[in-house]
Amino acid sequence: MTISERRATTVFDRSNLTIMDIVDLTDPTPTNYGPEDFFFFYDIIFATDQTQLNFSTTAQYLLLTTVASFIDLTTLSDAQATTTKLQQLLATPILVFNNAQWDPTTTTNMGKSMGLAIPSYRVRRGGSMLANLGVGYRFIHPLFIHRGGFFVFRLVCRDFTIYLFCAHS
Amino acid sequence: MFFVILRIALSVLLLSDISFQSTYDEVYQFSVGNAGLSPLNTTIATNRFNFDSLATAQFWWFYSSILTDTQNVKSVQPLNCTGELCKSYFMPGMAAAILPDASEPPITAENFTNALSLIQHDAPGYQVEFSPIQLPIPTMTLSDCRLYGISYVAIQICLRNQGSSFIAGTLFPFLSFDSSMECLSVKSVDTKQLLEYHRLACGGFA
Repeated sequence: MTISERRATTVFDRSNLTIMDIVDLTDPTPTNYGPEDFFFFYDIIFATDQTQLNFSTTAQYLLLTTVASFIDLTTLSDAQATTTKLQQLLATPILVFNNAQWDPTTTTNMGKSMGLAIPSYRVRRGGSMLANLGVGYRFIHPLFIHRGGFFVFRLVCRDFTIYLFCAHS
Repeated sequence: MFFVILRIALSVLLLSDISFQSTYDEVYQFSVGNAGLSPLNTTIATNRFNFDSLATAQFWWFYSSILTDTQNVKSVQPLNCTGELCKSYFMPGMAAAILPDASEPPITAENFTNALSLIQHDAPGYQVEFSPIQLPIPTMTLSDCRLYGISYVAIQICLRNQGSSFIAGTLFPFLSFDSSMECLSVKSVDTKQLLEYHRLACGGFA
């Protein structure tokens, strides 16, 4: 497992707050987490004392039995599923045990701006051989318009792109 | 006929390589107190009432679906690994955890009804990548592992730094060791060696 910090712009679905898109990711910065950072929380959430009265009703004991059953591996074909459970075990502290969750007023260097936006799609030109016929830094896009006669060739400049119209009129 | 064939051929040629890019036209911007994910921090446990139970409940709530719930993570291009077993996720922080700016007017469902997206600008997050342990497998000893549980149910978690990464594994000691394995590796060639580490690690449990 490798953990990197990156800044990003995230697009959420406004209706259900699911992540739709992540854009403008910055270069990764390595984190300096060590095993002790994780074990600190595992020690707390899996702390089960059999001598404690009613230990079997504590949240820690119930979580322990749940996680144990998750990673209960009886056949090698379950390996991938068990791998996923371990990945979840490692990823959860990162999401849960931080100031943003527990004490958001003490965080620093966080995001400060949000926006509401209308999602749409832009059709991007492909990289076909014809479309990549370049004149200098400009691309030529042959567009063929058929009107039932003969072809008319036109060059139209738009932005930094040259469109070659071959109109059949 | 020539033009018909030419038109079909050109249509296929020109339209076969079109892609769609999502765009988001912002209609309203506003400031927030905090957005994004802050670093893992052990000091949050300090002087907090009933932290043990709260932390356990929080962990439990997210644990079983953290990597599939798209409110938490999104798959992104890996930075350090390749291949089918290389998994890379980005956690931008949950939208529900954004701290609002009290000076901003509230936005209700009736405002900007055509704006279906909520954009969190330039906020910190964490990219987590998982990949199989590469050979040769680094030595893992008892000191890298913790055993949690009681006499009849327990789990062992092993975790150690390896360069800028972690190597990790779990074990359910209640079963025979032969049917248990290192969780980060599904390659049988790795399994046998990792089982030996687990046996070593589990010596303290028996």
